[in-house]
Amino acid sequence: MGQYYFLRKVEPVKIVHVTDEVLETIWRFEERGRCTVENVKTEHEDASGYVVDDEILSELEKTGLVKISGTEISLTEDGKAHALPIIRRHRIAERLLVDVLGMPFDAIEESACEYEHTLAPGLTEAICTLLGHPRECPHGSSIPEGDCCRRSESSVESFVKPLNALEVGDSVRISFIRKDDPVLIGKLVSFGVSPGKMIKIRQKFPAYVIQIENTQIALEQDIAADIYGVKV
Amino acid sequence: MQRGILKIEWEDIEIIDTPGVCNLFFNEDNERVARNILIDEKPDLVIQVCDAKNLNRSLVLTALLAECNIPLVLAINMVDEAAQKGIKVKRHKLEEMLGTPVVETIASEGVGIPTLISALNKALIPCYPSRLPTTLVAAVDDLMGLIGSEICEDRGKPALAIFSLAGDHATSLWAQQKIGISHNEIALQIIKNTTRTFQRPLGLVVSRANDLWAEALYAESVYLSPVSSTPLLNRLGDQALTPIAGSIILVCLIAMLYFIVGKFAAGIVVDFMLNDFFGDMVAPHLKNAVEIIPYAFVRELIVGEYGLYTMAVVPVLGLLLPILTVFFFTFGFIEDSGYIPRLSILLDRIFRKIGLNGKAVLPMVLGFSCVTMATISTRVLENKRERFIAIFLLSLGIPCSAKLSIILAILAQISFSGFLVVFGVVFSLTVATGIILNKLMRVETSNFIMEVPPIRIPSLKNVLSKTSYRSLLFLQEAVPLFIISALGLFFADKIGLLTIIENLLAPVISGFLGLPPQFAESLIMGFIRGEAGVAVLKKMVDSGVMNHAQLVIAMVVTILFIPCVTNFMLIIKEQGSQKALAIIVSVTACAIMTGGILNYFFQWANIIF
Repeated sequence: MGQYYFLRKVEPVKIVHVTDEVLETIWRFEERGRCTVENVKTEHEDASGYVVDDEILSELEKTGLVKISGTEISLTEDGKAHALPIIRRHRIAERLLVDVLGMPFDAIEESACEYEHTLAPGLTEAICTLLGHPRECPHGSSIPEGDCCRRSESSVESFVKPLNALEVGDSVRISFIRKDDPVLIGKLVSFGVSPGKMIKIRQKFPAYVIQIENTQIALEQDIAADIYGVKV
Repeated sequence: MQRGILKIEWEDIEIIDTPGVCNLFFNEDNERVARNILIDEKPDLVIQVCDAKNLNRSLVLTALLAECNIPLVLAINMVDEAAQKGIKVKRHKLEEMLGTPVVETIASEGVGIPTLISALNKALIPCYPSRLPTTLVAAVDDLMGLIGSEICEDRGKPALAIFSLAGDHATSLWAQQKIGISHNEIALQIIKNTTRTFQRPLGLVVSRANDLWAEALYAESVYLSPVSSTPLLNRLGDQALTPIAGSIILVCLIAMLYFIVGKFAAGIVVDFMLNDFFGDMVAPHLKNAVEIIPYAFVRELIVGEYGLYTMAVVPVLGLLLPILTVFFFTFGFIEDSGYIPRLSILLDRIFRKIGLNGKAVLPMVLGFSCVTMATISTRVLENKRERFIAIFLLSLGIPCSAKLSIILAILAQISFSGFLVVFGVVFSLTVATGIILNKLMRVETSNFIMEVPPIRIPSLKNVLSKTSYRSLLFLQEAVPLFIISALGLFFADKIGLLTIIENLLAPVISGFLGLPPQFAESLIMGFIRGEAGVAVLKKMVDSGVMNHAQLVIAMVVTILFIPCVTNFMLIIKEQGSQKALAIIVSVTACAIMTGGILNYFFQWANIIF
C-alpha cells in the first residue's frame, strides 16, 4: 500500500504516459535528423528524471510502435500515427499559453507537457481554430496539421488572426509569421516585426501600413495576410 | 557607399559611409556591403548612427556589433524629431551602461558633430553583458579556436565566427570561406550541432537575444512623455498614403512641377535667356568679335548653323542649365520631404500590374531626373526580371529632365491638347509594354516591405547644396559631349555626310513619319546626348519648318527613342550585351512604329492641333 501511495503522490502521470513521452522524444529527434537509443535515454535522464531502459524500449518495439536497428531507433508508421496527435496537442498548447495567456516562451514547457495528454480531440481542434490554425510552435517547430486545418475551419471566431482580418486602428501583438522565405523573415526581423512585438495597423489599402514603436512600415497585402497576431 | 577624409588637428581620418542596415545576417545588398566593409576594411572604429525615434531598433545592431567586438561610438541622430514625439534619450545613463561614448546629434543642421569628432578617440567595445544563449556562445568560442592566426586578424574573428553560425546560407558560406573553415569537418559539425539544438535559423536566435538586450537597455535609457496632438505634417504624411487624398496630393505635385518647371523655367526664364540675353545681348557682340577672324571656316565653326556657339553654348547655358537648376531644386525639395517612399506605397498595387512593385517608383521618378542614374538605381529591385522590366521601361517611356525640359519648352508654344497627346501616348505605350513584359516573363514579383519616413520640411541649405552639386555635375558631363557632338555634326555637314545620312533615312523620316529630313540630325545628336537631340529639334521648331502635328509626332518619337549613349553603355553593363541589344532594337522599333501610326492617324483624322 505504501508503495502505491508513493506512486500516486510523486509520479502518477509520468509513469502512465511513458510510452507517449518516448514516442514524442523520437519524433523530435527525427525532425532534426536521426534518433539513437542513446538519445532517448539521455533525454529522459536529463529532462524528466526517470529512467527509460532497454526493457521499456523493447517493450515498445514489440507493440510495433518503434523499430530498433543497432544504435538507431525510429518510429514505425503506427508509432508516427500515435505520436502525431501528442506532438500536435503539445505544440498547440504552447501556442495557447503564449498567445492567449501571454506567458513568456521559456516558462511554458511544463504546462504544455501536461496538456498534451489531457486535451480532448474536439477541444484541440477548437483551440487550433481559435489560434488561427498555427503552423509553428513558439519555438519554431512545426505543428502537424489537423483535420480542422485542412478544412481551414473558422466556426469559432479565431483569437489569433492574420492582419488582413483585423481592423485599422487595432493594436496587435504578433504571434507568428506564416512564411518560409528566410529573406523575407530576415527583412521583417530587421524592421522589428517579429513574434512578441506590438504593432498598430494604420492603413490597409492600397498597401498595409503598420506602426511598430515609432517606425511606420508598409507591407504588401500578401505579407500582411501571413502575419498573425492577437488584438490587444 | 561613399568615402571621405576627415581632417582634424592631429591626423587625417578616412570615413566610409555604409548603406543603412539594421541587421547583418541576411544576404541583402545593403547588409552584404556593410559586412564586407566591417571585415575587409578593418575599420578602427564604427560610428553607429541611430535614429533617436527608433533607438530600440538601432540598439539591436549595437548588440550585434558588441558581440563582434567592434569598438564604437553611438551617434543618436534626429534628436529634434524624437523630442517632438516625446522621446528624450538619457545620454549619460546609456553611456554608463554601454561603456562607449554616446553623442546626440542633428546631422542635417550639424548639431553635435564637433562633440562626435572629439569622441572618436574614446571609442570602446560596448560592455553591456550579452544575452546570447550559452550554447551559442560556446559554439562561437569553439569556432574561433579553429581559426588559424595567419588567416584572419584577431579583430575580425568573433564577427566571422558569428556570421558562420548565424548568417543565412550565403552569408554563412562567405564567412566560413573567409576564415578558412568551409571544409573543416570539426567546424561544420559544430555549426550543424548548434543549428540542431535550436531547431530554427540561428540568425533568429541571435536576433531574439539582441532584441532582449536592446529592450533592457532601452527601457533604462529613455524618458517617454505623451504627446497629444499629431502635428499637421504627420497627418499630411498619412493622407499621402491613402488612395483618394494621396492621388489628389500626387496630382497637385505634378501640376506644381508643371507650372514651376514647364511654365516658369522652360517658359519665362528660358525665353529671357535665349532671346533677351543670348539673342539680343551676346549674339551681336559675338558676331562682331568673330568678324576679326579672317577664315570663314573658323567663323562658321564658332557661330555658324552647326557652330559651337549655336550647338553647344546656347543650348547648355541658355536652355538646359536654367531649367535643370529649377528642376533639381524642386525635385530636391520633394526628395527631402520624405514623399517618394509614400508614392511607392501608393503605387505598389498599380506597379504590380506592370511586373514591378512599389520599390520601382524610385528608379522611375529618378528617371525624370536622369535616366542613366535611374538605370543604376534599378539595383534596389530584387530580382533580375524586375530590373530588366524597369530598365526597359526607363529607356522607352521616361524622358530625362534635360530632354523633358526642352520638350516642355517646345510644348509651351503649342496647345495643351498637344501636351496631352504627347504624354498620353507615351504613358499608355509604357504601361502597355510593362503589362506585356509582365505577361511574357512569368516570375513572381518580389516582396514589398518599406519603411515610411516621417514627412519633414526640407532644409533650404541642403536642397540648395544638392541643387548646385547636381547642376555642376550636369555641366561637367554635358559640356564636353555637347562640344563633341557639335563638332561631329559640323564636320559631317561640311563633308556632306549629313546629307547622305539624311537621304538614307529620308524614306523613314519623311515618308513614314512625315517629318522634315533634318529630324535625322536630331536623332543622331540625341544618341550622343539626349537633350542635344532635342536642342536640334527646338532649333527646327524655331525656324518654323514643322507644323504642330509634325511636332507632336517628333516629340513622341524623341521621348520613346533610346536615351543616350551613356545610358546605352550602362544598359550593356547592367544587363549584358544581348539583352541590351534586345532593349535598344525593340525601343527603336517601337519609337518609329508609334510615330508612323500617329502620322497616318493624324492625316486620316485631319488633326492639326
